[in-house]
Amino acid sequence: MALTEFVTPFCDAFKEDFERLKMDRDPEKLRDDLLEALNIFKEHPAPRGDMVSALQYSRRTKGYLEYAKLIEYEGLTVFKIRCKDSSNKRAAQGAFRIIALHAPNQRRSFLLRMYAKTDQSDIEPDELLEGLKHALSWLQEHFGDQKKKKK
Amino acid sequence: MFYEDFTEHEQAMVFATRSQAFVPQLEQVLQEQRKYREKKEKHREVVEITRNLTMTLRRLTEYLKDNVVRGISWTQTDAPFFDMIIEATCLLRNFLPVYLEKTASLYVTHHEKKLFKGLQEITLEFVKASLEYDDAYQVERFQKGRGYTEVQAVLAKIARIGSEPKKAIKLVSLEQALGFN
Repeated sequence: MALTEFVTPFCDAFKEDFERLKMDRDPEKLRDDLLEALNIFKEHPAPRGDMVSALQYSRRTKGYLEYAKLIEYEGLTVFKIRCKDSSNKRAAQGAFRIIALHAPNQRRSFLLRMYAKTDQSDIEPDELLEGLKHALSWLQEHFGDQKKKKK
Repeated sequence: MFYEDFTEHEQAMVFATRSQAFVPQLEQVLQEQRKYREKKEKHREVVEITRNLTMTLRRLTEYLKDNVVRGISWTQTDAPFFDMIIEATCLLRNFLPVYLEKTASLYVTHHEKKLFKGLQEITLEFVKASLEYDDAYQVERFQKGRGYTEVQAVLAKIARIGSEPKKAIKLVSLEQALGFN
């Protein structure tokens, strides 16, 4: 599956985050770091086990992806993905955080937010609302409501 | 038999004359030996550091595993210390395989190889334990955060969505979506 089939169009909040981060970094390195992380995430969007954290090794990129489950709700998972920052030579632990929603039924992921750990240590749930609403309307438009379909 | 016909002094003279021809080679061998010894010493240092680091990481991993339910973020308590350890382990993860590959044929014994492998394994275990420790706290905090109920309400609506697409999905390249051509 290509990355474009896995990750859906970005919400405005994510686009704004990316533009802000791009301002004081090498844009191409930032893009490559993000795509590298997403490629591993695409391979392993559902880490095994009940652990909060997951450390996933990719043979293709020969790197690790570290992510944590922020919320699990009826099969849906909101992940916090750690992503390195090549522009500032920072390893994943001290660099970017990408918040993504994974919908396994539709085999789609939505990028909700992206921020640098140096600018913001944590994220509040309400900061994800815009991205989640975007995901909801996109899924409703392309997949439709299960209950309505049954009627 | 040959040397017995000469005096001790003569024997020494013959030996010295014969040896002279080998002096350049001897010097070369000595030089190589010196280089080897220097490398060997450096190597010993690496082995020593590896051994110490393995022990430290093992202790830290045990500590983290025992305290993971404590609900305190280490970033709030010992931030500089743990950040340093995390950075070090990241470096090790990349450095060790390269080091092993370069030195394997020359100086690394089977025992030392096992030592490096041990460090690699404990590094990974340490990173996992440290992430679990920190994330357990972060998730707990997030779930008590502002607007968590609204987030759950939206997720409940998303969970009701069907899995069969009803409309063709237009694919847009991520590079383009990020503003790259």
